[in-house]
Amino acid sequence: MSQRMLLPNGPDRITIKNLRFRPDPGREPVLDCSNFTFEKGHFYGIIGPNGAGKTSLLLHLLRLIRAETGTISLNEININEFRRRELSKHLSYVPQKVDTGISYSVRETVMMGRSPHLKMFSYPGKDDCAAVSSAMKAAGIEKLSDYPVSVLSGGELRSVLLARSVAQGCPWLFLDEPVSSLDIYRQYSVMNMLSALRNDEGKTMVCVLHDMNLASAYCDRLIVMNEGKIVDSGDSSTVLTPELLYQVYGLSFRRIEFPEDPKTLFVPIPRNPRDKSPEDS
Amino acid sequence: MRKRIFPTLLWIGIPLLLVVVVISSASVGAADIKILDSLRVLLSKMPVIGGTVDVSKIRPNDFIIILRIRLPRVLLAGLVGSGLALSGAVLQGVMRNPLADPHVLGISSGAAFGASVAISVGLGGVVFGMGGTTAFAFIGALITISIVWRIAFRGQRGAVVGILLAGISVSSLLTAAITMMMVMRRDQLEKVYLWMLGSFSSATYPKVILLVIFLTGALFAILPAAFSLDILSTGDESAESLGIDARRLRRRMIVISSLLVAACVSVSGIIGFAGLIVPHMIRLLSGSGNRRLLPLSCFAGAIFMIVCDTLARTIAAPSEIPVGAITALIGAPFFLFLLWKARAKGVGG
Repeated sequence: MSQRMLLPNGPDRITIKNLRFRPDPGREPVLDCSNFTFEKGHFYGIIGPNGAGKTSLLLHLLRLIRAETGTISLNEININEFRRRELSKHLSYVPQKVDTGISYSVRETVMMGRSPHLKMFSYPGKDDCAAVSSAMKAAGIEKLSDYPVSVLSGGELRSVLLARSVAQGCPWLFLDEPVSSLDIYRQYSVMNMLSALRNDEGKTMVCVLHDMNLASAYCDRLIVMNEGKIVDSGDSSTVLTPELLYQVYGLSFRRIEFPEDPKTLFVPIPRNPRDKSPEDS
Repeated sequence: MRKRIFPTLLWIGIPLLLVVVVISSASVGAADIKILDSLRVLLSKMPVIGGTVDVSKIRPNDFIIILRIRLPRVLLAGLVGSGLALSGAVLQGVMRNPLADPHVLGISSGAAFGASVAISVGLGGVVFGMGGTTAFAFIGALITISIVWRIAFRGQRGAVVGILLAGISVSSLLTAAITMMMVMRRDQLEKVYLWMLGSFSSATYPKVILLVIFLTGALFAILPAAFSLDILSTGDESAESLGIDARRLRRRMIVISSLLVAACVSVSGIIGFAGLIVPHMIRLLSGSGNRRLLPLSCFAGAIFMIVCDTLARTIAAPSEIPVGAITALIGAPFFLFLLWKARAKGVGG
């Protein structure tokens, strides 16, 4: 077979059209997105309540779930045209966790990120080792190098998987809640690292987040999802409004602005039992 | 976290140990032959130094015992040990289950069923230098494989659970059938039972050659995929995002290991523990990386099985203990010890 490579420089945009995903025919679709285009070079944040379809969207974009209805294209090429290995050179996935029943060392796990670049029969070489070392340094896990991943804390494992993706060297990174269950310091250091990857190396980030303040501080584009649909999207400084947040989360939010800083904060207001929500009336 | 044992030491030490074990176990046995004489016989057949060894004082009978009886037996035990350990290591990886062993696929029960049919019918005869029991066991294993595959590879996801369940169900069905057969042919009960416990007493060179073919084939198919297997054991999604077709790789590995297990079980019976504990032993010594684990498991499996078989034929000589009993007797306590130590270090096995 010829060594073809679609889009040698990676996709400039990823477009979804009429994507619907209904794993259980008796229930509402988990995912129901009409049209959206991810453009190269941005830092996308996907927010929304549990079960909004954020992770499903991510998995479709990576073709870890194949689209049954609708299409996903990289530039104008349908994602199904790509071979698995080609995709793994373009798109990288940072899952929340991996199976550690059979446990490898941290270094071995990060080395797995080099897999798309290895030929059959060949073992990781000097370049791969260098890539792994610098990825581990970037993620701040050099000291864990020889630990088995099974003994790591959730946060440490997250950093290892992030390093694995960095070693993979893809232009697009898809991250599933990379900071959930991390302490506040680590949350910011991970987000800083992602920001640096985007600003210094021009990588595109698509990141599922729960913390809307973290999302609006770091992402330049926000996608708000609810019940499988993209409810709103656009520039992160304009998308979020107390009305939208109320519609999506069913909670009242207060917007806090700072005179010297363009960023705004959203803080939920605990609901007073005497207040009536629109559904009650 | 302690550093793992220096890898070069393992790479040199374990194969060297295998050579020593092969030679020394071919030199001991029930027949009254001096160990030095046995060594001479073996050395005289070696390619380079063979001519320099003086064998003039050794009886021709001893030649036959060593070269026609002991050596094929030692070689067969080694090959079966390798095959079981290799397939155990592969299956533990692709099923992401540290408790998987070569017998979970139900193939062994298929072989046992075939063997019991042959024994109950009183099938003798020799096919390609293998007894009717072996031939029937192999056929039984292959039929079972095709059934298990057909059930297990249906559908899209959840393949791991499917395979395990299919294997276990087929296995208990066949065990039930064997029990029925044994009840009907009580006179053959002991034979069937002993076959199932495993033995290398009927080792012949054709069996050795059969195993050499299957083991080499399996190694050629499995070793190039070692790194992909590492990645597969972190999960399907994780592996696919790194460019590996998880389902296809798992299928291929299961197909190869089940053929290898079929060959092993048909010539030796159902020998437990080697396929389970040898890979775990190597993991504790060298880590989980399949590029080390798979070849080292082959060597260590061979050593383990040869030692067990040598014990089986010598400690109660001239009668024999089924080798499966020895592997369990040595294997189980050793495995428990490893587990106990591993828990303290937090190595998940």
